[in-house]
Amino acid sequence: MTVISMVNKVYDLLIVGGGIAGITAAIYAARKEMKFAIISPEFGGEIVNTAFVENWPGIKSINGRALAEKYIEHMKSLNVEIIEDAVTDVRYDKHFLVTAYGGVYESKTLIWATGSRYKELGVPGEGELRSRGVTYCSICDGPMFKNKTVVVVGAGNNGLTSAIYMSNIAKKVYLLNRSEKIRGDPILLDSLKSHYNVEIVNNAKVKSINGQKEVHSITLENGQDIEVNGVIINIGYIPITEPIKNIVDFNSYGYVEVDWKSMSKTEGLFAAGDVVFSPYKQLVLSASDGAKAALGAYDYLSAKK
Amino acid sequence: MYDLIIVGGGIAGITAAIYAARKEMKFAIISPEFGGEIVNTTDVENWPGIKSISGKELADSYLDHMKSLSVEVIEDKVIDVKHKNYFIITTGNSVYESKTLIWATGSKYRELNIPGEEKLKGRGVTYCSICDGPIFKNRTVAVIGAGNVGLTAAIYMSNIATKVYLIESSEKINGDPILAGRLKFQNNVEIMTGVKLESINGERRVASITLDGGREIQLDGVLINIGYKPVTDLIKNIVQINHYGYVEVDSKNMTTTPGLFAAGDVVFNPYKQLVISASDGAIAALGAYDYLSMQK
Repeated sequence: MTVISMVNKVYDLLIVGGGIAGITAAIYAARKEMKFAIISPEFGGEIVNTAFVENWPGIKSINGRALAEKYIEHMKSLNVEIIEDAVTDVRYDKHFLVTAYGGVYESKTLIWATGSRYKELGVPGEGELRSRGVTYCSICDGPMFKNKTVVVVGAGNNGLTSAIYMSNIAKKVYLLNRSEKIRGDPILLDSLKSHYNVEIVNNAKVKSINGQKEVHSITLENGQDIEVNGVIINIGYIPITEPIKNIVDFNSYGYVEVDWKSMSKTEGLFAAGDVVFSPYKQLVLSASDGAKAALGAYDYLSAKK
Repeated sequence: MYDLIIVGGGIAGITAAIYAARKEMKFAIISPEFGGEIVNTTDVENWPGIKSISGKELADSYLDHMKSLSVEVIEDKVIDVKHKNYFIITTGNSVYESKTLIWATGSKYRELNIPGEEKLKGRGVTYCSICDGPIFKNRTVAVIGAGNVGLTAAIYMSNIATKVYLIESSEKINGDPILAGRLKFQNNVEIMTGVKLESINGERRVASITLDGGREIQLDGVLINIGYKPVTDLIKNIVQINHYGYVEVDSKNMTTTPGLFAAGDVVFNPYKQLVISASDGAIAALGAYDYLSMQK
């Protein structure tokens, strides 16, 4: 692989991440006419895998991908330099040196907005049966389970949304909840309860996922076996922060902590969206983070001049 | 007894209501009017997903969203707030009790405090170009302040008025370069930086302004856009207000008073942006929900 170093070009700002946080940062940076680019292997972020979004203010209900398209279109209307590439490493030497497969980019400030990825259950069978009935994304893989039986693991908002979505496709949906109480929004739970083919199993923890070539059952910790064709795991996320691990401190949960202008403890390094330590994971919060980080980076550079 | 009362009908309050409704809380939102500050904005171009929209239309989309959920909307003005173990909110027509409170009343226009300003208010002096701009068709106006609001006002006025002076007291234009750049294409706009106003002159109507060097400019209207001050007078006895008049909050938007949350432009925050206020509203509602869950 040839690595081209773009030594002559120093950006004011590089935004890494193509979800709502990165895109909103790009919209704000463009309005400030900063010399910047946004880098991500794909754009739209986590919501493209969401069947419907009902809490983006001003839109009663919309498919996640359709909403993501709106954000992307808005960004593209503003002459933003978009680099479709994955960042593998970031170093700091007077400037941020951002290494992607296609080259090394140099920037005075950096907004890290790479989001998070699915958390795994870590049970026997999960790895072996991935894509053979085990999935982390109901909207991507749900249609495979038409008229079949699936189990959705996790009863937060993502799990509930998944279960509602699957109840219209699958013959039977089990929703496994680890505790007595459902964590997700009551409005989603009510909607779920109107679907007669959904069975909620409380206090249920998965012990193993079983099957040879394909999933055929799961075993719970209480020994109970449930025959299913698919296992949809929605138990949360872990922040994607490996490439910046040498230039910033993470807290004990693996998140980046930021100040009120979204700057981390490393000068010039901003973070936005799901990589930031925040009590809630919501589209509108990530958008707000992105706006603050871009304005913060702009202010930071203005103060240095 | 409500679980939650939201006071304020702008984006912060509305988003809080959308989130509270999704949590099926027993709550109401109180405000004399709904839509917030953006209804006075010609174009909003930084609400993610919408390239350009009038402030009023965008506000209507938020309101429609809120009204599609089961939300108790009380159109009334809050005149007093007391705090015991719960909150007692008095409006013009009634008294409400609630376990938690989200204060999201936003801010109001800041005044110049110079001679003539008060006397000529509504007689050529205005704080809202979109409300009053059309009065100045084919006339001469001064827009005071070159932050984003001032720049937007100047662009808007340049298409209505014969001549627009944009006067900024600091040496530099603080607003976004994209807006400043657009303004340069308007040949009827004259930008003056590092210039302060000394007085606004006129008997029955604005006739001129005097600058601090003594120069007098004949004009018909003065559009003041020098910022905002948070509306926090009613809660100043139940929560600590900082030096600038703002409320400080934790990561769940709760103030130092347990159960009292704040969202939007009343919160001490480096930036005043629609999407930040929306986020605040969401956090405050989720925060209030979590707070009540912990109490049970």
